[in-house]
Amino acid sequence: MQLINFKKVIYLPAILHNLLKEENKFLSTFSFPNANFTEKYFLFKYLLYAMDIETLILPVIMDDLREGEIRSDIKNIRNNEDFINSLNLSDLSTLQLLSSSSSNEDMDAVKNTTQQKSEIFLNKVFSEHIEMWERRPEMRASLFISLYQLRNNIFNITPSSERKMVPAFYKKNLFFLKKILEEATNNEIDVLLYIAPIRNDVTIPYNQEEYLSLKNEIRNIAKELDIKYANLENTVPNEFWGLKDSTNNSDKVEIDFMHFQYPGHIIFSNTLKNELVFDQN
Amino acid sequence: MIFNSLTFLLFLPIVVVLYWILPRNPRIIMVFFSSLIFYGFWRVEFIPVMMISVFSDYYISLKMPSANQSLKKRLVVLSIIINLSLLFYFKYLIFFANNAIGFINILGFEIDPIFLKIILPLGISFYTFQTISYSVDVYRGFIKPEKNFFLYASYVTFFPQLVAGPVLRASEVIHQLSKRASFSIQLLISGTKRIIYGLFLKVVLADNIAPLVDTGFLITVSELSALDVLTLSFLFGFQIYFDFSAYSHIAIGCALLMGIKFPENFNFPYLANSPKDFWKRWHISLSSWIRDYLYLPLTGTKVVNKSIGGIVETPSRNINQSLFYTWAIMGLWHGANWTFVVWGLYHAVFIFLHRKISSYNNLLSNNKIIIKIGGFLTLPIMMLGWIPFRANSVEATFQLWSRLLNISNYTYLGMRENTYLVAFILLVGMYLIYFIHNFRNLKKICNRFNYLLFPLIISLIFIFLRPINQFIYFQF
Repeated sequence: MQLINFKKVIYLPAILHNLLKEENKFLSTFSFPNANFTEKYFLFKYLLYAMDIETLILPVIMDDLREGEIRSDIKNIRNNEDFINSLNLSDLSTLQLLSSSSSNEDMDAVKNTTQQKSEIFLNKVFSEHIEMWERRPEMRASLFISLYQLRNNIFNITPSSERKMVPAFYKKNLFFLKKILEEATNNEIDVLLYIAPIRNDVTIPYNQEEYLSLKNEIRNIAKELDIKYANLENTVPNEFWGLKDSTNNSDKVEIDFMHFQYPGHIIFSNTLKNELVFDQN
Repeated sequence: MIFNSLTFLLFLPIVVVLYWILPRNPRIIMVFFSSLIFYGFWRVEFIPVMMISVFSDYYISLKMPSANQSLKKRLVVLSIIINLSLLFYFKYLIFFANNAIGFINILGFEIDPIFLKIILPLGISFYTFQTISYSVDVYRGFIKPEKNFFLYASYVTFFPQLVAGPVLRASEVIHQLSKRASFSIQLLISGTKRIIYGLFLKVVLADNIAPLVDTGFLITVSELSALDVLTLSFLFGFQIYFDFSAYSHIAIGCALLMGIKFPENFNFPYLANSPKDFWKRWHISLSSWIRDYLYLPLTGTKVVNKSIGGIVETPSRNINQSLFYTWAIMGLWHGANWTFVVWGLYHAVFIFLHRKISSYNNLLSNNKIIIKIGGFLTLPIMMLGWIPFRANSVEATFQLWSRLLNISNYTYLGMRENTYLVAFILLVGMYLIYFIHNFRNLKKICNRFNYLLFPLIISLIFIFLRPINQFIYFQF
């Protein structure tokens, strides 16, 4: 298997966008590393308010269901007053979830205080004059990556290591997935719910039983809510999957279970287009 | 102004330089006004609230020496009423009103809960306690009222300890503010070291543990295993310890930069060998305040006047009732919520049990093995005590505790692997640091590496310094 040069290569969102444009459909995509369905739910609520949605394309990836945190990029939607005013009481109580976890925004502790102005001013001055100050978010990220690599080294964790389901997050994510689908149905939005592609020539990094159970559960939810469902896990041929740099600081490349190469992007874009357009016809 | 911010890191050196160059009176006035600036950077509109407390206790205390015993008593009661009224209005009005409405509704009348928006002024629980202690100390004859208003006001509003303690006595601070210590580079080095250490605990440790704790407490209780509950309580225990002790370190460090010595507020609390011992090591200034101004008066015992030593046992009347009243009030002081009362009573129960066991077991109390067993049991008890402090409701608190009682809840794990790993590393790290701290030779060896350690700590502070989270004790 060889890595190809990704320079000037476009990825699935752009390919699919171009394909759908031919059908007079306009695709907007939102990509967020390992976004869980709680985050996706709040994003969807915001998009419902911000734009007209005809069709919702929703992938299900087992890894994302292990996540439970709501990141600040999503939390920020609560700062949009018009959006908040557009919500009903039940939505507002769900939205409380956005306030109940800790912040990751630089200025959150001084928000709405007199100090906020001086902090913004001083940060601006520091960023303009000290290059390292501007680069602090990168340094934080590098530090955390190094810590993860250290952990992976110590415990011999690789992308092929089995990732157990986290029961609480799994249930919460399925709960919010259902909420998204219900709201989409209520708003007469067509949905394509699909199981995302995965390599099938090597042992996948999930517990087989848990993965099977997830697929069954997703299919049942789709059936229950009369939503279009597709299992696309075998869509991308094995040769088009990629390798990635080591996650434990060694020189070896590792199997990438999450990303495929450019030809894979083309194949999968066409598959999605067919699912969407074929369905419309 | 919060400590973990650029504004403060620029403000502090300016104040310190002025402190050392100004003569006495301008220096005291400067300390007072810089404390107001420090406070005003949060919300200027709450300075008058603080000044009500400052002015009233200043004038009331001045009247006391010339007053007869009965008038003195009325004056001290007036001082307490003014301070507690401020505290009641800003901190407890909505809580008590809604509880009263809830009770009336139970009786069959229908009243809607009130939705007043009252902002809690930062540090009100701390500065009201400090001014109460001042007028009570004048009443008791422990101190003479301070005639110099700015000196007295500087003591109450002194910015290093204004919003989250330590809760200091006038006798510990006023004389140090009045007469400046001799300048020494060593003071500046020691103070700076404490500030750096405190910032490290806050911005590197506490703020990075917070997301793990928050994510854990968002999980539906029924999904958590017993080990998850234990892990979360330990993690939050570490978070609040790093957060609050960081504040105390920075406060002590800032004061040291001006040659003012504050008593220590923490002393390896999680290595306590009994619940009583824990409260001699955790938030020492508050527990000794509660001892001197609440618990001992309730038991009818003669009080001492030091913000050290924790809560002491006294052979006097009402000792057990007083213990429970004191802890319920101590809980409410932390927050207007029944969860805090549960937290207070939880500690009262364990201190009470410890008293009972100790009274049967005097001979064994000096036995090293018993002490070790005590320490081994005290740690999880104290950690589990944080659950009501962090849980959203009393119901959630008991649900979380009850997860520990079912054996089948010990057979699985319900959170991300990193959560357990971080809790484990912190626990091992705590013992390691204590071990190094207590073995002189090991400490000497480690001190040799300070030239490596401090640059590393400073680099980490540089990377992580940002006011993302307030100090937890700001909400109290």
